[in-house]
Order: sequence, then C-alpha cells, then structure tokens
Amino acid sequence: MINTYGRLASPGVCHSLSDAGNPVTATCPDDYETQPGIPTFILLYISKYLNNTPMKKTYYGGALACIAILLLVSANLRNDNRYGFENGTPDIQSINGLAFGPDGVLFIGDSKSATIFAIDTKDKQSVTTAPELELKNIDQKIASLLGTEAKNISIQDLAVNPLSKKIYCAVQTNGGTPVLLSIAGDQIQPVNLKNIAFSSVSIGNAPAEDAKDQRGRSLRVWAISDLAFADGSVMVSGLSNQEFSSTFRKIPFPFTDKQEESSLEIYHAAHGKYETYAPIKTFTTAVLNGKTYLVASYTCTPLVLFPLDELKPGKHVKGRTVAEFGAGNTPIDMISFRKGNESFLVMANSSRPVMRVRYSSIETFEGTLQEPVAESYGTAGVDFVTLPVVNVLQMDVLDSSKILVLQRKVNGDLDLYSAASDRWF
Amino acid sequence: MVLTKITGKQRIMFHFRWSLILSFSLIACVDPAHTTDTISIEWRERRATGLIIPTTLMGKMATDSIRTLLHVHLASGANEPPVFGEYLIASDSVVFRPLIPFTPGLEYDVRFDAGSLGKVKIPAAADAPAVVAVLPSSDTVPENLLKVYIQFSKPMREGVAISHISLTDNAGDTVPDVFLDLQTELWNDDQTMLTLWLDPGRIKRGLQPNRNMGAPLLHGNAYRLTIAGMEAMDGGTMRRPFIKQYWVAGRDSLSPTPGRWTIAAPEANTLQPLGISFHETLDYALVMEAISIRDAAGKPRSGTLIIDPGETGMQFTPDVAWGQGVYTIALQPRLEDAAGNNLDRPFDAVAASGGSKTGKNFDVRFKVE
Repeated sequence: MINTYGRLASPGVCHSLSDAGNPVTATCPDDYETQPGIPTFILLYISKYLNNTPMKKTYYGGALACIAILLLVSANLRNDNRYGFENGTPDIQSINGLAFGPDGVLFIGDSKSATIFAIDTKDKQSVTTAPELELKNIDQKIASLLGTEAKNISIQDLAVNPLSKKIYCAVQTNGGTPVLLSIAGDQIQPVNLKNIAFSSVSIGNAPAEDAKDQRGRSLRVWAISDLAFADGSVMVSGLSNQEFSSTFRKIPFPFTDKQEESSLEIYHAAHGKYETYAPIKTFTTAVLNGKTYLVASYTCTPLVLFPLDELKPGKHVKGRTVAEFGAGNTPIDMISFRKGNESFLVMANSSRPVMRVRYSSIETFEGTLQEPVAESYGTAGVDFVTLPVVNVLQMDVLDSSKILVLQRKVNGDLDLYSAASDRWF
Repeated sequence: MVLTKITGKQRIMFHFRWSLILSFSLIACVDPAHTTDTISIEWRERRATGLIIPTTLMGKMATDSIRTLLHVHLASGANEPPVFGEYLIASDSVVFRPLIPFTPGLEYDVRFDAGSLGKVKIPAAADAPAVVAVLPSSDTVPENLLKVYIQFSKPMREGVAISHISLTDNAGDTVPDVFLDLQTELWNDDQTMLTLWLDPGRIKRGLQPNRNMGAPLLHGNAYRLTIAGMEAMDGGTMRRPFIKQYWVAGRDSLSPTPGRWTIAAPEANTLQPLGISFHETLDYALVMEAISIRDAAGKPRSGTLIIDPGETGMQFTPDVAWGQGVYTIALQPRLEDAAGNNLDRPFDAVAASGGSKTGKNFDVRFKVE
C-alpha cells in the first residue's frame, strides 16, 4: 500500500515516480487524508512501459496512464469518503461526551445542539503502550492555559485514542465556550476544530413546532449523559428537560438517516416493578457468552444488561437487572478492562468507592433481580469488590496495563494520572 | 432656488471637499486603539474576545518574530503559561484572540520578548443579572412538584448553578439533596433559562431515595426557594437574592383532563384571543410546545400564545382573523402538569409492560361563529 491524497486535484504532487521509476513520496499537507491507494507495482509497471517503448506505442502508454488515473480516482473516491466526511468547521456548541471510533475518528456529543459530531483527528499512529502520566491540579493547569480560573471550567469527559493512546479532554467553560484539548505526556494542546473533516447527526426530538417563549428563546434542552462506540454504532443516552424518561439511541456509523431509538424497560428491584421512566446515567458494552450487551447503570444504581442486537427501532426491550449497588449513590463513569483471560467492569460512583465486577460473575448470574432490597442502602445481585479509590470522576482505558483516572483528592486537588492495572485487578 | 445657481464643476468640488472631511472624520472615529500606543480590548456580544496590541509597542519586528515573542498570560503570576489563542498580525496591530473569551474581572499581561508591554484588566459588566421569573409562578404547588424553571435577565455562567440555589423549610433549615445534580446543567440555548428537576427518585413512591429520604416537599409546609450570588457570563453578579415562596398542597397523582378545560371561543372575523383555562398549573415549557391550534383542515394557526399567571390557562391570539368553523386544540400526550403527570399517564404510574403510550387522542374542539 502506498499513501495517496484524499483529494484528486493534484495526485501527482504527493506521489510521483522518479526518473528511475522509483516511487517518491512528498509530505502530505495536514488537511489531506492519508488513504490506501493504487498498489505501487501498477505505477512501476506503467513507468517502466513508458520509458522503454518507442514513440509509436505512446498511444498505448497514454491509455494505460488514463487507466491508472481512473484507478486512482476510483480508489480515492471510494476511500476518501469512507466515513462520509465533509470539510468545514463543525458548529459545536458544547462538548458533553467523547468516544473514539475507528481510525482515529472522535465522536463528540453536543447537548446544546443535540448533535453527535464525528471528527477526523488524523491521530492514527498506532502505539502499544502509553507513557505513565501524573498531572496534578489538572484543572488549574488547563484554566491557566485558557486564561481563566479553575472554578470557571469543568472537565466534561476524557477519552483515550486506542491507536495513539493520546488523551482527549472536553472542557466546558462557564462562559459556555466548549474546548477540546489533547494531552500527551505533560503537554496539553488545543485540538483544532476549524476546517476539518467531519460529519454529524441530530439526536434531539424535533419539536412539532418551533417552541419558543414570548421573548423568542428556545425552551427545549437535551442533555447527553453518556456516549460510546461499539459494533459499528454510536450509542448515546440522554435526558430532556421536558420528559423524565430514558432516551437511548443507537446510530450506525458512517451516519445515515437511520437511527434506532429503543425504549428500554428495567425491572427496578427497589421499586418492585418494571419501569421505563428512568434515565441511563452511564453505560458501556461488553461481550458476555459470545453476545454483545449494553451494560447500563441508572440514577438509582441498578446494573442492567440489554442485548445489543435486540435494540431495534420502536422495539421495547426489557433489561435484566443483575445488581443493585445501593441507593443514595449515582454512578458517574464505567469502563470495561481486560486483564489476561478475565474481563472486568469498573464503575466510579458519586457516594461510594470505585467498584469492580467480574464479567464472569455477570455471565453466570441467571435471571433478574425481582425483590426489593430490604435493607436501607443495601446491595444485591452479582458480587463486587470496592477498591480503595474514592472520588473518581472520569476513567478510561489508557493501554493494556494502565487506566486513566481523574480524581478529586482528599486535599481538594483534581489530579489526572495513570493507575497501574496491577493495583486495581 | 440656491442650488440652480451652482455650476456642475462647483458642485463636484463641493462634494469632493465634504467627502474629504467625512473620510478623515470616519478614520479618526474608527478605533482610537489603532492610532494610540495602548492595548485595547475587542468586544463581541458583550464578551471580551480579543486584545488589540499596536505594533508600535514592539518596534520594527518581522512577522515571524512577533509570532515567537508575543504572548498573553494571566497577570496573576510570573509562571503563568501563555494563554491559548491565535495572533492575527496586521500592519499596525496584532489582535490576540484567546480560545475562550477573557474572564471579566481578571487581569492579563501582554509580554513581548520576556518584557511586559502592558497589563489589561477585563471589566465586569455594570448591569447585574437578575431573576426575571420562577416557574411555576403560582404560590401553591403540589407535594410532588417535579420541575422548576428559572428565567434570568441575561445569559448566565453554567456549571455552578446548584450551589447558588437552595430550598429552605418553615424553620429556615435547608432541605438537602432536593434537586437532581446533573453533570450537565439544563440551560436553554442562550443560557437565560435553567431547568431544575426535584429528585424524581425521592418523588416517586417506593423508590429507595423516596423510602430513605422521603419526598422533598411535604404537604402543608411553606418553602422558600432562594437564588443568590449567581454570575452572568459577562461577569456581573446578582445584586440581591431572589426569593420565591411556595405553599405545598396535597399530592397530585392525576393526569390533566382536557375534556374539563373551560374554553372561551372567539367570535368569527375578529382577532379575539382564544382563552383556555386548565383549572390547574401545567408545565410552562410543555404548554408552549405541546399545544397547537389547528383549523378544520388540520393546518396549524399562527399567532401569539400568552400563558396566564400561575400557568393555569392560556390566551392564543391569531395573526389572521378567525373564520367561521370548527377548530382543534391539538394536544401532544406529553403535556404535563406541575407534578409530571402527562395526558397519557400519571408520573407515579408504573408503565404497562410492552410500552407506555396508550395511543389515545386528547384533542379538544371548539366552534367559532
């Protein structure tokens, strides 16, 4: 494979053949996509043919060159628009959730415009391990770089690019301006969101009519609670300011007009009844017994499994409640981590320490919790271990042996660091 | 006539002289910053979006040198890093646009080649923000009140609202954990309206938060909702707290019943408003969004909707006079009262397995004669 330009305006500039027939490669400008293109041997053959034949065969040479160009065109057309990206500046009004997809594609959940953006970070250099990280007072560091104070910013989400292991950080400022930063080692840099390759999809319920108050202000608000990518789809959970219910969408990527909105029903052991009117706070996906599941946690902390392949448009799906982690607590973030042959679910909480659950325990847990938890703040269902780690606000898998952790320390500092998985598992 | 005595040439000279005077006046008025040696602030929509730094302050420097040597820092310490942003270099000035607007009240240091060119403090706005309305605007609310909307006079800072809003009981004690603490606050587009959920887990009977902590509001008690010290995006702070007193009535576990609403139908060929009395407080935002007036063909009528005090009714004035005929008040089932009971089901109801929507039609018809 060789690299070719994503655009066709001047394909020969980036890759041409030297007089000797050897391919030479020029540096591609940043705003061009690097794509697989025409196999080198075809170009070599054309070059050799043209160099070694008499003039009368120029027509054949010309025809072959045309074929080569056509091949180049078709290859680029096919590859360039693989994800349906357009070049431009996305109108991102807030960044409330981040998740990485394939090839360095970053999904940005924007509550304000009720839109999911997919942007091409072009950050696709693969590495196997990430350097250890310790950034103390990360909020103060970011605030200084933005020219403000820590009290004026909040870190909305963190996502690690699974290819480059670079950290992407969404920051919301009090003034409402969203900021996307990248963190590599101790270097914090803004991520350019102007003139980039991107696509987007709307996720808000379009109101029947334009709902505005007498002063012309929009009344509908939609907040994204979590965002993830799995099995070729972006999944997003959210809460509207108008209906207290769980909104969950599964959107195939590359984006099309097709969205799968399912109504999810959970058996609320605390309530003793099935109910739909509870928003998902955080979720992840996991493969259990060979099948992919949505692992969701609700505001009153039941842990519920939904088979991903059953989430279809308009379908009402009953979840299987496998654990109650106790009331008075709100789950904040979840990750799945694999160590050796064993996979774990790790959950950060508002009022309890980080919890660790073996997926094998979930796999063997039959049925669903049906009885209300008798004891106040009691727990039920699958076994879990509480780790001696509290006040964790964000987590992500940094590499196969490290977890990225954003934690409010006892002294009030907000630190971003890599935790060795050996200590957690 | 005086003008008829002026020749064509004189007229040209007359216009030429005045054009010159006007041009010089305009140049002088454009922006004094460009003609002085002081750093000035660039404002856009009341936000400090840039600093205009005259190049005279830097001496004769190549563009590349300016890019390397010119940096804007927070003035709070010598070790503050350069602020993220872009430098737009023109012949007479460099405009620095930070990634996010400058923070009102903070001071910034413009440094060039390690020396300071000057410090600029971003002034906070003179007019303080204020609460314009709290909804429900009624004095009495049901025990299971679900939502409160707070409207402000100007765009507010987000992310810290819940720490500025409190609910106190008769004894003056703060009711703990009454509002749902969402990571993303529910602000509208221009950040002038905040939606607060009273913790539904405490309202919904039988859920653990309800069992452990009880309902947030208790029947027969009075509560004070206090909003104090909130900051606007332009840096101004509320001058005085806003207090809204609520009396708490019994639990409302019933869906609104449009069939019992009182309709004051307008007369034909007039712009009289259509009056609807709900006989209870409905959710402000959903009244605006889930009710539409349609003609016999099902086409929505455009007009102005004004909600009555206490959100107990509405007045709809059409843009075009009513014609004779039957009209429909089209209602989306998600229309709710103040306790979250929608037309389809009460908030406390447990959804029937297999779906929650009943598919019922709740539309109400009225006749214009």
